[in-house]
Amino acid sequence: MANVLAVTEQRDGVLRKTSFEVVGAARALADAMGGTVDALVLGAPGVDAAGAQLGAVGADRVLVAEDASFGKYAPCGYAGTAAAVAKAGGYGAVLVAATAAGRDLAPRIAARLDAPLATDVTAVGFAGGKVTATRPVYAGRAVQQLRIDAPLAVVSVRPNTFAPGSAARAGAVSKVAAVTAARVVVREVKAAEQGKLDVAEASVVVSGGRGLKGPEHFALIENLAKAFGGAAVGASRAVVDAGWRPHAEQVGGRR
Amino acid sequence: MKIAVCIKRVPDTETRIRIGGDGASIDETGVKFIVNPYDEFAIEEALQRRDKSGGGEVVAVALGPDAAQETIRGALAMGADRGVLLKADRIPADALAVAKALAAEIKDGGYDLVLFGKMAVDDYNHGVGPMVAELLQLPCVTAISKLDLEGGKGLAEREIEGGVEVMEFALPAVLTAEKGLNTPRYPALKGIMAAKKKPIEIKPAALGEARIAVTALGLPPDRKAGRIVGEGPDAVSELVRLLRAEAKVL
Repeated sequence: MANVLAVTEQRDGVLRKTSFEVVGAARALADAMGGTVDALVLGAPGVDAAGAQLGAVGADRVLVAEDASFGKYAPCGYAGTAAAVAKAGGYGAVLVAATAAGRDLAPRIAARLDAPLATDVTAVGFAGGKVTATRPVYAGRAVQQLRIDAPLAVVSVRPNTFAPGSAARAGAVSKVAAVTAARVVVREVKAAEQGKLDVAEASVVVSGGRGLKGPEHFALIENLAKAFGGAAVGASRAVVDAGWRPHAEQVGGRR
Repeated sequence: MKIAVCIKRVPDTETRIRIGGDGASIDETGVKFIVNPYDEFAIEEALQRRDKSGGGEVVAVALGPDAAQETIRGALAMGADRGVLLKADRIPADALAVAKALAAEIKDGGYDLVLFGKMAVDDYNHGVGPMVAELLQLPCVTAISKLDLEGGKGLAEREIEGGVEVMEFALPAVLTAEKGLNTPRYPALKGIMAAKKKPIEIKPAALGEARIAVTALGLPPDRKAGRIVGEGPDAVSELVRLLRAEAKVL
């Protein structure tokens, strides 16, 4: 029996959609392992209110680490706190969503815990006493099955792939200590246009490519996305490479 | 500045993937190998930083089989000063095992900067760079698209969903490159000739224990074919009907 720690992510005190997905993935894995799910919320003071939502998607307990420096992504502080919680809790797996922050965070946690890492997985399971994972490789042209030969696995899960847990659990919120030592600090976050949706989180993406013939014509895509009641704008690798659109908008295998 | 660039030999991104006889890796017969494209941004950045600082050294470090010497030669042809090959018959699927070998090599090298590509286009791990930073307890910013260095301090930008994070750190540091950080140069003939004379040190990789086993590698299910509904205004009503009835996005 081993428990699972789900590391969640918030922006401005609001949990991201991937946070519910990572708790859902943790719930399914913990059920296979015969363990419980702890969700870790990292944020500025007051973020515990957001944490209270996680019982509904399958968290048995919600651990909240609050610090003024945790409002924005704090690579070292988040990694240090997650690693300290994971060490103290004796988990069998630590799950993180493979978002921009999660792709940065998961390897840091793995290194601090001396635990192997499986990234961007589309399925995670438990067989023969070991965590297993499925993940696309070679730009989605092949699919790898992994077995993690360690008592503790760190796994990042692909956004928009796992469903939030459907069975509610207690989700009792308690505080844990924030580890704040930092070698890198986020000085500012330059926000993109207000109200713009993330490609990683949107349920509808309107994507354009070279057929648009020039960056100026992406207004067509933007307007169409708006007409969908707020779809995200996506872009092909070719036009991202050409500098027409930011990298964060790239969709498709070759990311 | 003394800069290490960690590079990886990967199959060309246009390679048609065939599954090998072991059912857990690709069949490398006839596969063309290249330097990981993201690593080219790291090499270019290293060269520019070295030249701007008025001196120093760029060391290209690769972990892999003997054939990875070619990958290192490519970096030397672009302008790196020397190479180090940490020899391993196979590159493990366990990023932490690789990171341990690289960290051991870099630890006492006196580097001001350690650069990586943000990920390798074969395994898509995004892992080794930040792991090396953690093992060496160095500041690290991943997937950077802009870098300013001034007097031992740095500011780097990384694109996140819906914005850009500006990160501050002190040197020495580990950075991983997103595309767009710069425009990698093509090696000139002079550089290719000079690269033949530059030294490559070869030693065994001090790999950590590999604790991730690839139990199977398969091909993904075929993608469902797209559909062209029609052209011009006449197709609109049918497109809207399909978006509503089939795709259910309206």
